[in-house]
Amino acid sequence: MINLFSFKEATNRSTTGGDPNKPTSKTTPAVLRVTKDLNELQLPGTCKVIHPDPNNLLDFNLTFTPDEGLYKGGQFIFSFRVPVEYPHSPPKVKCTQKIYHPNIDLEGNVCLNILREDWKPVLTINAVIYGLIFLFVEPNADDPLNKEAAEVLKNNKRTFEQNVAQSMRGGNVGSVSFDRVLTHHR
Amino acid sequence: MNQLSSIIDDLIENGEIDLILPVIKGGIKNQIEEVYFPQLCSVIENVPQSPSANDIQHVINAFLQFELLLNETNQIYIPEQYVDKEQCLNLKRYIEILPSKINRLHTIKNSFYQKFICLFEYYLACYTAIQSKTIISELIGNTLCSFCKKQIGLCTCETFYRNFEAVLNILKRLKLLTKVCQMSAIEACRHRISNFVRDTCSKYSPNECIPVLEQWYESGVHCWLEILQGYCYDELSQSSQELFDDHKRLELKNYILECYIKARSKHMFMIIIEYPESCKVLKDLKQCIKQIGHRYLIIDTVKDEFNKRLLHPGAGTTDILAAFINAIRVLRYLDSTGVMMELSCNNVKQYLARREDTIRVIVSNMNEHGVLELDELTESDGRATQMDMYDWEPEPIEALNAPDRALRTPHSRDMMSMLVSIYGHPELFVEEYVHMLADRLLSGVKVDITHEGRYVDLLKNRFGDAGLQGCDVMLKDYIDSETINGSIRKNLSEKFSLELPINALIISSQYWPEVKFSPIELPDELMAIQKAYTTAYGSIRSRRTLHWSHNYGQVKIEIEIGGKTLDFTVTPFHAAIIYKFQDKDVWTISDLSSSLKCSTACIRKRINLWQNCGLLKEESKDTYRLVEDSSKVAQNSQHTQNEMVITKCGDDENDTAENQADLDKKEHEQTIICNFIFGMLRTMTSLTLERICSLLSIYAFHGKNEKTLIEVRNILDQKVTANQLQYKNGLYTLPSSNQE
Amino acid sequence: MINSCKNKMRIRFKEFNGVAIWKWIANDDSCGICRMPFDASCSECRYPGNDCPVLHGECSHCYHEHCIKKWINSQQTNKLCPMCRQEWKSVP
Repeated sequence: MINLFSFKEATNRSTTGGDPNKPTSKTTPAVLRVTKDLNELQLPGTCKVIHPDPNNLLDFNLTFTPDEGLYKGGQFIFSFRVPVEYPHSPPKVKCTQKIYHPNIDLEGNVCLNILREDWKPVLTINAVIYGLIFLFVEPNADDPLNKEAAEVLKNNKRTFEQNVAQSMRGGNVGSVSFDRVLTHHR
Repeated sequence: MNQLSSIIDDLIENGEIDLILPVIKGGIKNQIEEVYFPQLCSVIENVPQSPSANDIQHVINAFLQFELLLNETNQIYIPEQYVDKEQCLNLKRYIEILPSKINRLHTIKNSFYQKFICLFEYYLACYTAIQSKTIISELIGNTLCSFCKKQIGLCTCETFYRNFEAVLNILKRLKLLTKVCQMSAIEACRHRISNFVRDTCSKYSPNECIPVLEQWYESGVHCWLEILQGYCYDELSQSSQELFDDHKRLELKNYILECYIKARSKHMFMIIIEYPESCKVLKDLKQCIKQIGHRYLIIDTVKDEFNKRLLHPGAGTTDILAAFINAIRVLRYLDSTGVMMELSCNNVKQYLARREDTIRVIVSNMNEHGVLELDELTESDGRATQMDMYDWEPEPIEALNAPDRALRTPHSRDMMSMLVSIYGHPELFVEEYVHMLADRLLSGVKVDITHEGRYVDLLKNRFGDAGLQGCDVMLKDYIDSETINGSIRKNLSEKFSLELPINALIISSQYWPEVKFSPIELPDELMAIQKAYTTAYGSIRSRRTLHWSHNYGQVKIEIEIGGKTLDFTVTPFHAAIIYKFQDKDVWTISDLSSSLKCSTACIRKRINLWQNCGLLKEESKDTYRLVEDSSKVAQNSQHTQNEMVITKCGDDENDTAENQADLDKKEHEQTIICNFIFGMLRTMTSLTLERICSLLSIYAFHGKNEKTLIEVRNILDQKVTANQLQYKNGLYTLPSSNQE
Repeated sequence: MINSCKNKMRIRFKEFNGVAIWKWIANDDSCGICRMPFDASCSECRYPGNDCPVLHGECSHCYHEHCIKKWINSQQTNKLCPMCRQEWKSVP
């Protein structure tokens, strides 16, 4: 059965005409697909999806609080923008904070293969989120966006660890200051 | 007496009248006090509770008799030739005022005064008949005097009324008049008003009555009170109080309206049905309600009348809907806030929502004349609300009892919304429609797809596409099925050895309301034909196959029994059950269930049909025997009506009997959902039903066990009833105490 | 047999009007691209079935024809099955 709880925008009056085999309502394929993705999310407790505007399913935030690895204790917020071509184009994911991570640049751009060249339309929001989780468990020095961080990770794991801790407290690494991302209860 | 007269004569002649006068006075006083007046009193006191005209005449006669006796006494004691003498004039004056000196007057009880109510009413009726001959004949519609029932020209009421004036005079002489008036005049007026309104308005009439009634009051009752006031003037002038003050008069005038509402409320059903011809009556009623309230009288009768006359299986849905719509219009006119309508029509709404064909009738009338025009559906809103703005009134007190707000929300002014509100919410209405369409297509009756398509389009115009997209596919499935049936029949029946005429409704399950598959093993012949058809289908539609549901569809069967041949049209499921009785006369439910490889619940629900037809008899609990005597067997094929019923009972039901485990699971599920809802409301304060649903479908259901809008609403309603949630203006909120 | 039934009741089927749902024969229930069931249309279409057929790949994966074609056409170089990344070749 077609999802009868299509979102409010779907029930807006629509003009008839045009291709008779096209749905005339504004429920775009991308919205339909994202709805399914969100319905089927199976996330660990460390992740939370929040829609700032519940009427716009295509834009949402992911809050991720790692419970292992170097980034444990931090809280990272990613913005997801799902393009209308979805799932034929990947969602645009950005980290909203300035963080110290070899695969995330200072503007928040994320380097994750499935968000770029390896994207395929059978992937889901769930898969992307797991990709992000993985980046925080295993930062990848081979495919860097933050080259300095990648260098440190490659050459001196200990220093890298310290830098991560420093940056998460909102401190400086080199001349760059980072956002404080630590959760309160720690 | 003559002797006494002559003695008095002598005494007066001899100038000894002064001697005798005290004796005479005492005698007279005694006579009046001990004889005449008690006689009068006993007549009055013995007037029955509701006196007849004769009883009243009796009282009047007693009064006249009393007056006569007084006058006679006068004549007895004062022979004519002495009337002019001074002493005699004194005596005369004495007798004149004597009645008011009667000792017994002080001991009269209140009940005595109240006896005058009916007497007064009687004469008030006479008086008003005289005063308002034309008005009354206009109201009643004939030219007889309403009191004496004679032709108006021959009416003798005026003569008759003089007796009453005599009574008033006597009462005045007795100095009882003011008290009598105080005690009974107003009550007499009320009786008269109530009787008059009842008599004149007992039959339904589309005419305006209030102005006439008011005229009747002014020229009759009001004047009559003035007259009484005039009679009492002397007595009153001493105490300077008014007999009937403005407050009492206003009460009387309002009482007319109250009586009118009472009388007319009995006609509410008629008024509703006849609307708009009944608009004059409504104008009256609106005025009444505005002045004195009493809305409950109308609310109660509308409720009762609807229950009695409409809300039963004998009434057609179209009629009920038409009445409902008119009721909405009428009650909205009477009370623009909608509270009266809501209170009166709640039953109707609930009843209509339960009726199966309600949606169908609504939708099929959407563009027909009279009931619901398309224009009205979409365009009337603007004008209506504008008028309502000038007409705004605060909600009447009865609003406190109003259970449902949906009908009152400002945007639900047009008729279509009213009807949709039967189902509580547009989306539920649409969903209901989709189910109805599916049932109809599945029922096997011939469906005019062009018609149905037009209805779907109309609904889309109004409610948007979203909920109705499935309908397009359903209708297309129906058409495609016919094409496929045709081509299979024509080209493939030999190739695939389709020996039995077979047609299939091939449906796209994703777009139909849930299609039930209750497993059952059909008779080989039917299995074979289904299989053959499936193969034939596969040759037309490559890479596709069919799954048959035995809960739907019709098998036409011919049963030969006891030398008789009977035709039936039943679902495959029913056919499979009766088929088993060919092999064996007696089956238990559990044997049937294992032989047919289906659940006992399924069989129990369907075996009734054969029992009702008279083919099977329940020998003992759960054991059925084939009936040998076929004479009482009723076949169903000739009656399309029955077919419908049978197919209905086939697909209506839920075959899985709910056991405890299922119920527990349900409850558990519900608790989870409720916790979600409470959580959402804590963060977002207030939400609409749709928002709650869509949020639940994202965050709670995860694509599994999704709940429909109806199910979620039911859960919410439960919580509202349990005061765990509040519902206002379409929004659900937590009760304030619950909000952290 | 006839005796045992004492000629009591005989049932003959005269006509059958059945209800069936159609299904694609595919190795999956729904299309991996649009995630709609195959028995429903892809999210661009209004009607399922003939209007929105299912395409089988040689790799054994199935998609709505509209979905897989849109993906394949958007790829400049490698026209791969989104599931297994083998070259996409549809089975006629």
